[in-house]
Amino acid sequence: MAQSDSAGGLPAAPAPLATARRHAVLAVALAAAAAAGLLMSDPYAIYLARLCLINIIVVYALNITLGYAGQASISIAAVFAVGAYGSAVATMQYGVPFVLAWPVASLLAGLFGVLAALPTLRLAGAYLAMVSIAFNVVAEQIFIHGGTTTGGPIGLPAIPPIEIAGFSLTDSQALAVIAACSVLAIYCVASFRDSQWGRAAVALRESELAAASLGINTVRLKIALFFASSVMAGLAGGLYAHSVAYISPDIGAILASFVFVLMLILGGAGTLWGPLIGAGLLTLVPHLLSELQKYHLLILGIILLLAVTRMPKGLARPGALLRRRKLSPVQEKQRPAAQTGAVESVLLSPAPGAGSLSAQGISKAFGGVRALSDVSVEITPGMIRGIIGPNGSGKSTLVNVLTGYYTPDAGRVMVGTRDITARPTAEIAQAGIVRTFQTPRLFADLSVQENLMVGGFSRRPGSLAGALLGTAESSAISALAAANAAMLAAAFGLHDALHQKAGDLSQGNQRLLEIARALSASPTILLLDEPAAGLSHEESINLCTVLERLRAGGLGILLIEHHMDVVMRVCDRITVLNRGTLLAEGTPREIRDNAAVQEAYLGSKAAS
Amino acid sequence: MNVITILITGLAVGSVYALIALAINIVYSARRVVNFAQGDLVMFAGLLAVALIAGWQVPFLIGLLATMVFVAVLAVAIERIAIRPLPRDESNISWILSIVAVAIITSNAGQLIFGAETRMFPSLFGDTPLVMGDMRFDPNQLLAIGAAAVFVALFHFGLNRTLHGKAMKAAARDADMAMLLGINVGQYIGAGFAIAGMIATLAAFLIGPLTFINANFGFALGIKGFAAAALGGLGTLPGAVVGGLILGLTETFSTTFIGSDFKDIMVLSMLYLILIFRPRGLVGETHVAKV
Repeated sequence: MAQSDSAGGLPAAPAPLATARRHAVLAVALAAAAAAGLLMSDPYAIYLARLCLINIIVVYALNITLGYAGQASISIAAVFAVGAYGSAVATMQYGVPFVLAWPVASLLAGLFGVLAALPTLRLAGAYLAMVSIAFNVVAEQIFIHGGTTTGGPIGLPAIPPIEIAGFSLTDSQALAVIAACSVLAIYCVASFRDSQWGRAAVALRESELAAASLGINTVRLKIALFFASSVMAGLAGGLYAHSVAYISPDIGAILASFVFVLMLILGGAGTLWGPLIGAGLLTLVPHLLSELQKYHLLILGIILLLAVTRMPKGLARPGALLRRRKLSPVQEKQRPAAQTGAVESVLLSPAPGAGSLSAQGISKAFGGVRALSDVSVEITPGMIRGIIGPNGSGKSTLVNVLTGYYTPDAGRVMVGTRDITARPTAEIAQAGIVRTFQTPRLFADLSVQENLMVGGFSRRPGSLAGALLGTAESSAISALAAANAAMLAAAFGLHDALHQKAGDLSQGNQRLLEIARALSASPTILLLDEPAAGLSHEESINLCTVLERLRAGGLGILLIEHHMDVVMRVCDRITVLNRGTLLAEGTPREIRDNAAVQEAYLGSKAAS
Repeated sequence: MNVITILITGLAVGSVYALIALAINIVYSARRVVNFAQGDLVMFAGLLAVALIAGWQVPFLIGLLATMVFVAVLAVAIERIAIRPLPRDESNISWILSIVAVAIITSNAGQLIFGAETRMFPSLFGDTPLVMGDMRFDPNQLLAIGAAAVFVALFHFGLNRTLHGKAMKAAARDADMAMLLGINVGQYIGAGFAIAGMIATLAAFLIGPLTFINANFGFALGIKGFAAAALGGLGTLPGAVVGGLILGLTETFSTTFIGSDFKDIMVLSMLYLILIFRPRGLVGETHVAKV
């Protein structure tokens, strides 16, 4: 019985109520923030508060790409400056009213941010960071040499204040607007994290390979996230320009980017309140420690150095520097997964047009090593095929070719009648072909439930705008995914660990979760890379039962395994590889009795 | 303006960039980090030298040696404090923030200690130009070109042909394995940074007479040095020369024919494009981490 995902199957009551409640809380917070802003009168307090709140917005924007998505692109100040300059120039030189100039400049900042996102499609880690530094420096130069438009190195003075419906806002009123905007920024990022988009972003950070294997189009995801983040930063820039009344190229300098990054990591990248803490502290502390502007940078530099050298794993794991993450004791039991009917029922509706997976004449060489030579294999729904062979025989290479991680030198891979040779992994996964990895690549920082929700993202992502605004539709999508995830977890005996971080699970449970997660992406053909490795005898029997039930539900399975008892028990047909070539193909009995196979792999006296 | 003069100027500027790239590549060879603070070290060395030689009237050679020792020690301290505590994982970017913090601290400390004004660096040759036929050369430029060539050759030989050099490279490739083989990895990394400090001093003495010394110019200089290193190929010493010279010539020729406004944009855009389309640089062959 396939799971229905039509609207009629939704749990009706909770979602709209939760959404309404959230929106009510937001409205109250907005009103409170605005009131607080209006009540301030001391100019220095207003100045500090304004700086603080604008920094908060920028750092929340940075949290989307650097914190949650883990993309080491650190040119946030450049897009902030585009928003600032854009709005200032539009109002001062083209007479555009603020209410139009401000959002348009932010959209421009968003597009500029997409430019900054392009390197992320090919690079990661340190190289990406260095490219983004170069990008930021070039951008800064454009502001410095922008002639009369940008005011050159001196910048733009006398920027008009925020003007709404003909009224110029006073400092307090502007502060109220800024305070409301920062509350909104926090709300948006919180909603984002709680949505499928947020889970996909964290999945991207934890393992881009695994995310792609679940059908997530990582290119589109990155571009969308950078666009959203840059629009937010651009909005902050516009607010800054019209409230401070003077901007110079400094605001877009690489140094400014580093300060924002420092604020994020100090407070805790990838956390909900981290940006607030970091931005707040690092804006206020230098001012409190010394009124002398000339010491502020030195203080910031020292704090940055201390922060970075004190973090035990650097920026590898998100988490607050100032607050230790409590490690909860792991308390889960390994439960047999075979619950009657449970496993088949979680097979979600298959991808349209799906069919058999077949590879014909696949050859692949790496330098001088022929990993695969003219290998053909076919898996149809409702069958389990085993792939066995000595180490180095090309089993994993074959799976990598089938799922698009490698391009074969020769041969074709087809799903039904569709040629998917060398298509991107995400596209192949969307066509119904999903794999697991030899070493589990779970999204360690996501809970078990969230790991199982990521698989539904590519089918039903919902809109990013909806995710940011926390619409009812976004909540409904999450609720459905959560319900499916809970069912999957129960079917695999992981229900007790539903809210534990996947990284805290035992080895055996991690492997089960890896399989369950692959199922959450609605595959028609499942490719399992040594799922029984390291399992005890009882666990192996569990696994066999799970596989048999999945087959009964109509799934096709390709099983790479060394555990002969598992292979012989569940497989309908077995393909034997040896040194990249097809050695034999047949039923388990035929393979067991095959002399060549025995000599190459099973041993001359194979136990039956 | 004479093409030859422009060429020589371009080569001289390029030679200084090559020296900075050299230092960056040596550090990269010892410990896979790009020393963005190299430019600030140069400026700090320059400020210190000016204070000693012009301010305290210390003899030129003694000033040079004293600065070199001080900055070398400073560089080793930077390695101990800012780099050693960090994980070696290639996907981790903590070292970038750490080095940048060092750059910020160095330039601001320099500003606070020596003042924010721009300094003139004492020239070995005074103000007399070198006259050959009907062309006049700035002897400082020729010195820069010559000195850079000599030092690059020296270090290229040292890094690739001597046992110490190979040990240093091994330390960067696989520190654990190197330690198992008895290589004192910490010492080699420290040595790499010390050398970077010495080269920074040399660069300061060569670039000083050509332009000005100012605590705020350091980071931009470091970025350009990085551009030169990346252009040629991170970690390769011939790459430092190739990258540095190309950069210097590009900058000088665009200043002359397009105007000085866009020279930085040109240079930095080259860096951006190289990092995206050919991360290993023009000469380099090293493995690059990609997605």
